[in-house]
Amino acid sequence: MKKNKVWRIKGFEGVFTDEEIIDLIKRGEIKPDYALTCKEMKKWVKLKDSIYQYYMEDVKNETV
Amino acid sequence: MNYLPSKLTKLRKHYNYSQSYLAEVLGVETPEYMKYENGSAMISYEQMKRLSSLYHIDLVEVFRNSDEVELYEVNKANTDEINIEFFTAKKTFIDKIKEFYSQNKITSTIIVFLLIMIIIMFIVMKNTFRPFDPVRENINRLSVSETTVVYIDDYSGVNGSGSNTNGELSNLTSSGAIKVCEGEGFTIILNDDGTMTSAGLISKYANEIEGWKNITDIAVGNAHILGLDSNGRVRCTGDESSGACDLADSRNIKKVYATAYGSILMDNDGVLTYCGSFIGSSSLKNYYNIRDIASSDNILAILCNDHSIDVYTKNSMNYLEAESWDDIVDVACGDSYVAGLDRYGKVHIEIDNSSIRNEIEKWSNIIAIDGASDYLIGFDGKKIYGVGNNKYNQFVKEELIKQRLDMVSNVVYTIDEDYVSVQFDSVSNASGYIVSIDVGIGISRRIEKAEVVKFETENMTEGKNYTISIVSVGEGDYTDSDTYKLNFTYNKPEETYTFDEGEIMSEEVFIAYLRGIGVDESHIHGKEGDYCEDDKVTIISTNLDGRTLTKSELLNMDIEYTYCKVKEE
Repeated sequence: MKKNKVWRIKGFEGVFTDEEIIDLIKRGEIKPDYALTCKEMKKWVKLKDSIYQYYMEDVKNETV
Repeated sequence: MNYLPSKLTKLRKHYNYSQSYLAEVLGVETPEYMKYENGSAMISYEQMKRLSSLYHIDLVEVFRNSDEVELYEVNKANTDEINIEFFTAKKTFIDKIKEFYSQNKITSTIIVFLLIMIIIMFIVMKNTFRPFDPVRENINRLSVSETTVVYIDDYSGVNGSGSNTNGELSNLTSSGAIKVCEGEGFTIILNDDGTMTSAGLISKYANEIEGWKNITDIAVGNAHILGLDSNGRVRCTGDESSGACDLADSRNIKKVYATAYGSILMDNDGVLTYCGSFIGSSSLKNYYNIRDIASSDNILAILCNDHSIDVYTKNSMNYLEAESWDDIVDVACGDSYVAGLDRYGKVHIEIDNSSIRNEIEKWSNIIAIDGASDYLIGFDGKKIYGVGNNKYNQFVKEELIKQRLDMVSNVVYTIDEDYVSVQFDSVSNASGYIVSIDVGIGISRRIEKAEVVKFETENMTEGKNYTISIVSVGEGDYTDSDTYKLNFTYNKPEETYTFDEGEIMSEEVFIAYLRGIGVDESHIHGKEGDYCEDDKVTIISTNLDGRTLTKSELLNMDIEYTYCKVKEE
């Protein structure tokens, strides 16, 4: 199945798939204050305020 | 903390769905869905969309990490039926079109032709009659009081200047401000998540408004605060002695306005009601569907739906009229002036003071205006312009303006086998740079100094065009620069060969090396030089010494070398 590139990151160019976003979070390239949006959302939501902070917690746990 | 599990459970139980049904909706097995509800797995973007559609909530509400979501009284059976009917109807309609086309091909072609003509006419008309600039109709970004000027910058942050006696300009920390309003000694901010924050307000009122949720509009008088929630319900708090809060709890309202001691509400039909006292109030019964209102002790100015301004004044001020102004998108007034901003960013003013008129004549590209009793402010999105009394330094421009950083200059790029390297000159006051290439994942780099940035060429395609984008990042008094863009075509560079100067090798090895590259022997010319130091014939010098050459350059040149001659015994 084709993966849709749907996510935008404030300050980054281009659009990203779910997998790419998760990968960026896990690699620490998207910081908690970075904001995400997609065409269905009219607002930017900071990573730390989104449910995808779940993956951030993964990073923390792995570090610990 | 991950609030998704509690949100999912709350929504599912409210609508009385089973876990297996949700699993089916999200395209997973029930045990997998159960993991979402116990927090051991995360949903994808596609599943977020399905949940948003199923529960009739905004995607943001699904994505935001909170379990506070709107729970609607929806009959799920009815909803399902409606959806099914909708899709069935859609299918039938499309089928009918197909059937009609196959039976009436000529008629259909004419209809399509006419439709295309209508679309072309629409595009021409649209360009001829420019719509109102939405930026200039967004008048929420600026607010003034008698002593302060506050505005929302490009980053949805709130900035202010003037008197800070009550702390009205302190800790304006909102990062998602969509509207700002100044009262006498306090600032109220509406955030993009429907919450309100304040500065300078006594804690009783501050706590009250911070409890208001899902607010879509705010307005502020001298000492009262209005909030309108997403259900059209009006909230009001503050000094109620003037009667300014008498219409609190009104329903079906779509917009709220405030005068110093009064409130004006516009309902969903555009009908106006008011409470409190202010000049011109009795005239409001003649209006509906207005765009904005400005008021002072002496003037009420109404921005009508047709973008004209009607002015009501005390009898002694009949000279104030704004009938000649067209295409007005914002209005302001003071004790002795009325001003309007037109769709082209020009500010018009009626005032008995030629120097103020001349000063305003110089303003351009203004997106919002607001005024207090004895001064007027214009805002172009970046800078504050002011005329009139400035005794509280409300519009000391140098303190308010955030300067936009310059774009980077002298950008050069080089392409080698593995990297595209980008280099540029630094920009004064930049706190960093964001450099990117539009090649997909992992192509943005944030760097602190103007140093070489390398991008792997692994995912680049030979012959394809790419764009290098660079933004100088601003902090404090500076905002980010515009984006510098540089296009290039990615061509994998030819392999190169470097020949060190004075490298000692035998004639035999030298020629073998060149032939290995593919150089034809007819291009290699040797001549005898000095005697050798021993009995080995080595290369003394070549015309390749100290040069780096591509393969094609090597193949198309004559290579000359000098070798030593062996001493005869």
